Amino acid sequence: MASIYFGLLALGAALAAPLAAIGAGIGEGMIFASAIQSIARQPEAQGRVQTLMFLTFALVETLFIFGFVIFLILLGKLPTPDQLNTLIQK
Amino acid sequence: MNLQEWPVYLINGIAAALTLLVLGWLAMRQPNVRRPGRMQNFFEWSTAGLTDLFRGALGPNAEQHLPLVLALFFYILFCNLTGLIPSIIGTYPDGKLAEPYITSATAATSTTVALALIVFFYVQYMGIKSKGLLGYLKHFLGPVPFIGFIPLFILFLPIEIIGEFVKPFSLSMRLFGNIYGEDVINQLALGAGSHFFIPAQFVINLLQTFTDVVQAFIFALLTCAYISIMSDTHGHDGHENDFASVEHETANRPDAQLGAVSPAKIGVAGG
Repeated sequence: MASIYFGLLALGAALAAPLAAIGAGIGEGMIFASAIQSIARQPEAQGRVQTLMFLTFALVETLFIFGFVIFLILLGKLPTPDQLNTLIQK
Repeated sequence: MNLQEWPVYLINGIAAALTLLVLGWLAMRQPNVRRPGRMQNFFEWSTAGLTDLFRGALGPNAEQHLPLVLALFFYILFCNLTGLIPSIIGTYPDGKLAEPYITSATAATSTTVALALIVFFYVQYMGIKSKGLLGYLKHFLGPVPFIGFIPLFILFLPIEIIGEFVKPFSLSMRLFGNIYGEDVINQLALGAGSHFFIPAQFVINLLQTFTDVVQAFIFALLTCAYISIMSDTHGHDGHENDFASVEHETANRPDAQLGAVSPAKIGVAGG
């Protein structure tokens, strides 16, 4: 049972950050694309568009950071080699 | 008062605050309006640029909220930037690196949650002060509590209350995750090469600087947005003031009416 628990823990830790990065990457690409397009259309709006771009970039990045923090938390719960040895010997 | 027992983020947080105080004192030792010194000029330039940005986000009554927002920005910026200073000395006998003693104070959840709690209580206090206790409690029922006889507030009430508590949580976790994540990536880059493989860490440090500034700016900007949402006195129509045009605000600013020369006049006179 403990091996199943540790296996699933490792799987969850490995999948947390990449799955979050998929959505974050798509969203941020759309943000920057629209920012670049609107600056190209109207260069004098660059200041305000840039401010909005950074604001929305941080908001979308937050969701990826949540996944990253979960990865870091789960990383601390993985077993040490000594615990694995005692587990395998049982 | 045994300093060895204090947690490292507390000492680093106090050190960042003391650095800010010392820099501020150095800047304003001999304040001069017509010929400012270099430090005073730098602080005035950065503060003026930031107040323009935050004024647009704060809407009316910006002057009374600006000290808190700017203090948050500069303190978080200095706390984040402390993480760039290398301070690992030696290794443990089993090969692990020693813990650095100069870290960013915001890389610990205690600091970020404390900052988010400051913002949370300030925003709630502003809501109560501008709407009154009854109006503040009524705003949780949503913008349209009833449609005819359908009580929509049953849907709005839990969503609004959870939303109010999610805001400081997301503020603190965003800041903590970004800064602590950078720390981890920094140590990973350190471990990928040998102990003193500086070029790998240099690129990560550049990214770290950018993220530090952006996260401090985002914290302050979201504080502005939350304050402006909670302290408008006409219901939920405060969103039209978010990022209002800076020109409209600067026309009413106190120092704009002191006869300052505007760029338009210079252009007309020179052209």
